[in-house]
Amino acid sequence: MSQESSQGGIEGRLFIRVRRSGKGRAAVDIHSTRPLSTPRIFTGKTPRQVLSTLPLLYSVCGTAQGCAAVEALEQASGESAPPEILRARRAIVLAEIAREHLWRIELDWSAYLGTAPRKATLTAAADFMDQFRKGLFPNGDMFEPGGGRLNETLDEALEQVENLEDLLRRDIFSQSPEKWLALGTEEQLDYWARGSTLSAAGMLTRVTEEGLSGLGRAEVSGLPLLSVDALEKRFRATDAEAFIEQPTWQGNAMETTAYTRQNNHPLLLNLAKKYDNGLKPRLTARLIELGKIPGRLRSVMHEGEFLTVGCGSSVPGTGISQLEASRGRLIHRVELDEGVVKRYRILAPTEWNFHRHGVLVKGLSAIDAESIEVLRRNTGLLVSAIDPCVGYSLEIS
Amino acid sequence: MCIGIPMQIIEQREYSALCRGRNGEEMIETLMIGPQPVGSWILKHLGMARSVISEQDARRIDGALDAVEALARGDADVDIDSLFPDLTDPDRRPGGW
Repeated sequence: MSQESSQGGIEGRLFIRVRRSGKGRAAVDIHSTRPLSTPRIFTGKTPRQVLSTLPLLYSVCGTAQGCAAVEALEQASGESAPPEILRARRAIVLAEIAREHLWRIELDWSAYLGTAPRKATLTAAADFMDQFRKGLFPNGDMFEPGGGRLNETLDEALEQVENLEDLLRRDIFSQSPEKWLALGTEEQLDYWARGSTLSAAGMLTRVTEEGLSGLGRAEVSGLPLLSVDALEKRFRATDAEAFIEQPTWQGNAMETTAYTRQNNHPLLLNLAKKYDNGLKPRLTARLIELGKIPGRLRSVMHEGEFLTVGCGSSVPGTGISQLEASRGRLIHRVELDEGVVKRYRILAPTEWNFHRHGVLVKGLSAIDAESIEVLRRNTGLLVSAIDPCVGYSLEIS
Repeated sequence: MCIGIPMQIIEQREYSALCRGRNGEEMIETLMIGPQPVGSWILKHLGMARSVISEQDARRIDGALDAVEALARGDADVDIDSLFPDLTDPDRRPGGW
């Protein structure tokens, strides 16, 4: 086994080392053993072969991975799926984001509060995702190149959206997501949080009371939508492997998270005036994104937003797709030669957010903790709020 | 990135299960999927079972992971096709799980 894979197993791991300097600054070092060369196994495979394994292999965001893969492969082979298929695929990616946010809130936030996660919420999130997908694609063929078979009606999927809305009302917001999304100021948010016994509210109250609202604030720009031409150029460069490992855009590390996606919401704009992209705005962004999903699902399925902007082919035989997955922007780039994969590359959000000069490292560098224990707690809070898709180890000294 | 590991349940407890996979036996939390029958296959990520999968898919993923490890070792002679033979099945539906 290679040195890379022996550290954290085949799943890989982030190793984060934080050393206190004693003057309100910390020296931070981050090292990843994530197996970024995994897509090499697809070399020589047909698009169907890739699509039958890739969503299973990258199972954590398997729907986002499958959707990105089929769109990149369709672009490369000049094939196109009907708009209703494209919308349905993107809808199940949104459903996956909802499931992931629900799981993280119930698991991570409950753990910080010292309460047990509610099993019913966790399994309801999984059931919603499964039933929603089946409601759209009864045969499970959503990643069929050119399009699978959609259900004849949207009724079953829409029923699941209602179930999600009920789940959010009951287990996250204590009120309808729509009403919660109308909160516009920190005072309104705090008032809501103090009046609810649910994990989401408890976490925000705790962070506020412990003075951690601005924890981890860092000057890092949000990753903009990248043009297909610019990405193609970057993926063809001689240092493309280094780009995938430590991506920057125009020389800068970038952030791609729920926070950067939602930072134009009035509540987040208000929170950011006081805390920038600190912990409280970051946690609130996850709630805002989750609360918006039922409405976005209805919109996406019916026609409203068209989400394949940023996908295309600027060189014959190549295809690029980019979409928003739970943890941030996911980019696939494929190059076909005589119908089989010549090169397959995946750029995942964890590489942007856990870059050695990225938002986590900058945020941790500014942490001023009075003790090792506090530094460890705060580091854990920030890492889980930015949310890597692999495990991590902390070394605090 | 985002890789899940197939494990088979050999003993289900209240909120966790003793499972066996490519790296041996391990206790896995099953909160997200609820209790499952012994013999079921699950996908593990960060010590938690995230989904229930078929035995066929478990073997496919394990085969792909074998290929990843072989390439990481620099084993240039590895026959990747033999490591996930189901890919040669023309009837295999993309994304069908």
